[in-house]
Amino acid sequence: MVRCTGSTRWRKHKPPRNDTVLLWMGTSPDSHFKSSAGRIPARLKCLFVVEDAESSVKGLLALVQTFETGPIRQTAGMVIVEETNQPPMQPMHDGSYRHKPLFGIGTTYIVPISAIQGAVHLFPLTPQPDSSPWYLSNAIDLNAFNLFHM
Amino acid sequence: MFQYRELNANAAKHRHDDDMPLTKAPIKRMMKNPQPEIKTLDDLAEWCAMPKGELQNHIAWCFKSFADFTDYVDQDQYFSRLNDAKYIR
Repeated sequence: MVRCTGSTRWRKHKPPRNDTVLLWMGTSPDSHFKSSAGRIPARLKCLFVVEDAESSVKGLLALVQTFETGPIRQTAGMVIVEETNQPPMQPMHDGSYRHKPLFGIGTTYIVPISAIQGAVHLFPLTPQPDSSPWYLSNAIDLNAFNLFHM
Repeated sequence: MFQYRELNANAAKHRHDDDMPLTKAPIKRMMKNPQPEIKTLDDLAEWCAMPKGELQNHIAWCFKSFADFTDYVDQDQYFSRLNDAKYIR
């Protein structure tokens, strides 16, 4: 189960929760996401359903922001991921936004929720709460987590 | 090494050892706890803090890229229909 509350609190008393996930587009790894074997680490920004009654098209969709992935750290065997400050999409001369969005690293776009392979555990390189970058855990490895943070 | 695949394989093997089915049915993905206040594209764009036109464009391209519904990008009529579609968050 993954959760996305936007800027609203999770369960009334807890901070907002926008989970990190791995996306799998069913394609071979490209150069950007080779270190994570083609899986794209991303943060959920919104989960929603759209229903076009006229053409009976219904989509369960997720607005996501992808992370930038670094090389695998040999000592830990884990990938380092980082949020990038992307410039907002600019409108065209006529004020519309009708052009192909970027589907690369550090970009925001929409995927069907079937592309979400699962939640992913990121843990920070430093103990600061808002620290970035993070290690992308390649296994459920509590020993490694305790080694770094306990 | 990136080990999710191996973990899945090992987990499947253990299930087999326990006389459980080797393969699982595909995960049924669904949305829980929909918020009643989100019903239109305007509402959703406001929630996402994104210009409405940009969000509409993202949805159209998602349909084209991942579901082969190319009309939402290629035809104005279909693109406009995303304005009147029903949204649930």
